[in-house]
Amino acid sequence: MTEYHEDSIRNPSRRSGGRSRTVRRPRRPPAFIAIPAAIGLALFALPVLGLLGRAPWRRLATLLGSDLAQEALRLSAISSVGAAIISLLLGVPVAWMLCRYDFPGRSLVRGLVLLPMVLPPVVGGAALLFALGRRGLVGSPLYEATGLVLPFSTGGVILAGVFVAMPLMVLTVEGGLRSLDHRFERAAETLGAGRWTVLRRVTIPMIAPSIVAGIALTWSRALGEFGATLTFAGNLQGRTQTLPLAVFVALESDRDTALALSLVMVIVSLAVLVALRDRWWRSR
Amino acid sequence: MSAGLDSRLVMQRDGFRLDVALGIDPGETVALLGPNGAGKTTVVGALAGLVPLDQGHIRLGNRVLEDADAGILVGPAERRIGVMFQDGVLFPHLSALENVAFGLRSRRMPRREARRRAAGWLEAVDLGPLSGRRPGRLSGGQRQRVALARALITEPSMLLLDEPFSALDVSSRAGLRRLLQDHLAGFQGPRLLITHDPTEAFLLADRLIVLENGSVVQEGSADQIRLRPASPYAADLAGVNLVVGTASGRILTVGNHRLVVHRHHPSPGHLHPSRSAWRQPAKLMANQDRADRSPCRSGPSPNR
Repeated sequence: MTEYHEDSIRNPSRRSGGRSRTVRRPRRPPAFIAIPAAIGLALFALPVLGLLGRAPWRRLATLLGSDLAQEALRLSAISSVGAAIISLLLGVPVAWMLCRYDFPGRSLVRGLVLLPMVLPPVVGGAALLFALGRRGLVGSPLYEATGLVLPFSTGGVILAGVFVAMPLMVLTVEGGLRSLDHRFERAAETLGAGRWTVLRRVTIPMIAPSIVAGIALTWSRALGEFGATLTFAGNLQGRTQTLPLAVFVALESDRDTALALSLVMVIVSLAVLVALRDRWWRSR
Repeated sequence: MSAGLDSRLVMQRDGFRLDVALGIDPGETVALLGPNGAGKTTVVGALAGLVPLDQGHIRLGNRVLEDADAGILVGPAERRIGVMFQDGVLFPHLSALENVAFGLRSRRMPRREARRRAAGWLEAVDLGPLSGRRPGRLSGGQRQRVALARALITEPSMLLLDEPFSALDVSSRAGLRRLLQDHLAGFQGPRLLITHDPTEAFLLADRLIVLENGSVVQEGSADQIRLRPASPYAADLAGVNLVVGTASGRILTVGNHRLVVHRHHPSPGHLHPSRSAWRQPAKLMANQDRADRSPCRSGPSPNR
């Protein structure tokens, strides 16, 4: 039978087995792997090193204390965290639908969900403007009804972040759900657990690594968002000017501030990703 | 409290049809044997309420758990059927203790009381000292013990054991079998043991059912199946060979060969015209020419 057939049942899940995996690792990678890998790594490392080398370390505190920097830091913190939370609340159900339910047009929906990942962010921002702008398809009745204006507001910054970052949440969570052996949830049901209990005590804890990875990815994607934010929310200091926008503006006038802000983004992002890797990804 | 199972399970999917009438008395252990893909695990899924029936019904005593015609479907959480899944299916993120307590916690028992009872059950399956371990740090046999305790702690009305021995080595099999024998003896409801190992079935079950391609091929005691296997698979289970031919008196004609049934056979006069069970094929071949000294055994087959 499709879901509960013996063959699929017999495969023990990766998680259920405690047997140790024996991975044989060659002592030294061959040259045809090592050389391109080293070049690839250099491409990642060089820009960071360049930034570290040019950073105005002594004036860092003063530079980051400026109004431009302070407001950008505050705005970026709020909007990236907000975008990550909204992506979590909406993206997990979307992933759930895509993974667990068969409905007409599912492949179209999946394409739609992943579209922001391949679309140039500027185009995404423009699309948001046409839909949610004050004269937009949804934006106009929304304004009539509530007086809410999303473009050129902090809410617009968050929305732009959600738009570009949520696909990452959907992708990682759907992957986690897909690799979860259904039998765990079924075992929970036979033990008297209702749907909510199964979700709370089995499904969510078991896909927690994917959810945490999703949060990290959406948060860092939202933090770095530039194009859609600029198009949809503009570049208003204190309202919509996030760190990347501030860096872009400062590059023209105040190179040291741009460097200082870039440094903050590099360090914070790297710290979060490394910490998460230790906590969640390596243990899998 | 204890009530018998009365069920007819009909399911049709992807060209596979399962049609099984299954009744188990309270306190009776029935072993369901069959090759891979026969539908054994589907039977478990149907009884546990994990896969809906297309036709048929499931009743435990006077409780109707499912009736496809009447549109009655009781969900798995309310059926009170304990399942010991193949490979245990213990929750990997919970300790052995929390796994066993899961069923009680799901039924809203306070945490402390649930844990106290779970600890008692872990003692009962000789795992008291390992209660804090997660399944990943337990051996296969230990995991199955936890799975048994987890299924029994909720005091289910019926117990389903899906291939409990399949992932175990020989010595842990024997240990788990003894433990199962002890605990099954104390369990009042119907018990269904799914297996493809005839030894476990013969040792644990009161009655055997052979399932092939979604339907019951044979039903009876181990002896009945050994003496009169109804299919080549049933004969393999019992360690005998099924030779299908045409019988006339004590002569069995199989293709071009004529075999004489041994005179010590319990009822050679009643040799069934179509099928008989034979043991020791090598000797059978060697003795073909002097068939009157053939060491073969045969018996009448059950009516189909």
